[in-house]
Amino acid sequence: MANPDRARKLLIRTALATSSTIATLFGAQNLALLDGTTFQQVEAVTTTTITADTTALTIEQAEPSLVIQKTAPNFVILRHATNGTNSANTQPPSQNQNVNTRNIQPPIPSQMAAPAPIIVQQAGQTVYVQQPAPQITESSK
Amino acid sequence: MRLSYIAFRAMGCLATLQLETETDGIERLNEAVRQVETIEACLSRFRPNSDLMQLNAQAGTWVEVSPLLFEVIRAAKHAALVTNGLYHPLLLNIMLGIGYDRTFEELKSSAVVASSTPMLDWHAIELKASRNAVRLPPNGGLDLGGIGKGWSADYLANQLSTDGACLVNLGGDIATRGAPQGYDGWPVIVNDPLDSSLIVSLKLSNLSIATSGVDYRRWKDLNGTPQHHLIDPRTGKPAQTDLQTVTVIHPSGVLAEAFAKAVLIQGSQAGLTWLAQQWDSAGMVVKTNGEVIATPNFTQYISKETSS
Repeated sequence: MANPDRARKLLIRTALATSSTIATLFGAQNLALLDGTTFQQVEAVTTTTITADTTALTIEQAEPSLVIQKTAPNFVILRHATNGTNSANTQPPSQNQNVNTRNIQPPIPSQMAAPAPIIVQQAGQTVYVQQPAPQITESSK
Repeated sequence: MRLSYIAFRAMGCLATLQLETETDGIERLNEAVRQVETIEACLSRFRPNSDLMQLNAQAGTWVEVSPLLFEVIRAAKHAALVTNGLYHPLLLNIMLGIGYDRTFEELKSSAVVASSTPMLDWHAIELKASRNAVRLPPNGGLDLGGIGKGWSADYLANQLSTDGACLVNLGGDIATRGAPQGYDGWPVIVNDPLDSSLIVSLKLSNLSIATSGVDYRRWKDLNGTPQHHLIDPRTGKPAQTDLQTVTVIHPSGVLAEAFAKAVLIQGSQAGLTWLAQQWDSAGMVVKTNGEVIATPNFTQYISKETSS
């Protein structure tokens, strides 16, 4: 034989190429089978016909006497009108029925339990104080 | 722990800061005063060179703005959304039309002519967060006065709270964080807008409170027509309402302000009903007939000193 080594190498390379080709073909075929299966499954779902139950449904009220009313929030009157025209008196009942008010004892406009701290300072000067100074919330002045 | 206090004028109103801290409270408050000036320089519509007015001058085009201005505009859009537009940030041209084209101090002593101005859609304010960019609708004018103090009070309170319990009061828009030692909250008072007598005393902690009213900022135009600064976006004119003032408590100063305006515009019945449906909100109203009504959850904040 002219070159036994060359022949052996050629045989080995041919076997490797062939086996890898066969493996590739085999793998591709398996993937195709899987895809086909999935497709068939999807196809099966989309082609399934669902029949709606057209039988009339009967709803039984457990509590036929239950009446749901829109409830209005219960507002609190902190002070009545100073001129006697309270909300309850000035509006017709039809407008009033959705607004419930309840009275609480009006707060006594007394002085603060703790005296306001004495703050002696020049404008814009930061100082130390003994107690927190009550702040007034009001529309901007 | 020491309690520091400062009073000064800013944003056209009286402002006070209180901070209880073990660190140097005086220096910290002085620094906060400088921050107020920075904020006002950015947000004021009465300063021609403010960031806000420079944005207004370029309405219709994309403008990259400072992170501070972008955040306030974002908060304003959110407030408009949750109030269904009853708080409306694009009222600048309306305000100018009714004569509110200068600070209220200057307005009181001058004569103005009111004119009608068309309303714009606040949804048309566009934001790009990645670039801090804003585009206003053409001819749109942004006025952040409706929520600016509430936002600023919250911002400053958040800054100061890293040093201790604090209270920030900007013209009656108040933000509180924590409470002073020995107190279950910061003392806040609501007075009668007509005679300044005490209505109720509150204790607040980690909450904001704002009051809107038609009691103070009022004037007459040259035709003698009464004007005030709270515009009803549904009509484009000063709100017709049976309310003098509205006070709202909310964790957010922006929403406390916006909700107070929304309630005032709607009137006592519809406004209080609407407010009672909002999350985390409590409020009270003073009607023109002197009656004072509150939502049920408002009473939990009333100080024992004024409840019987």
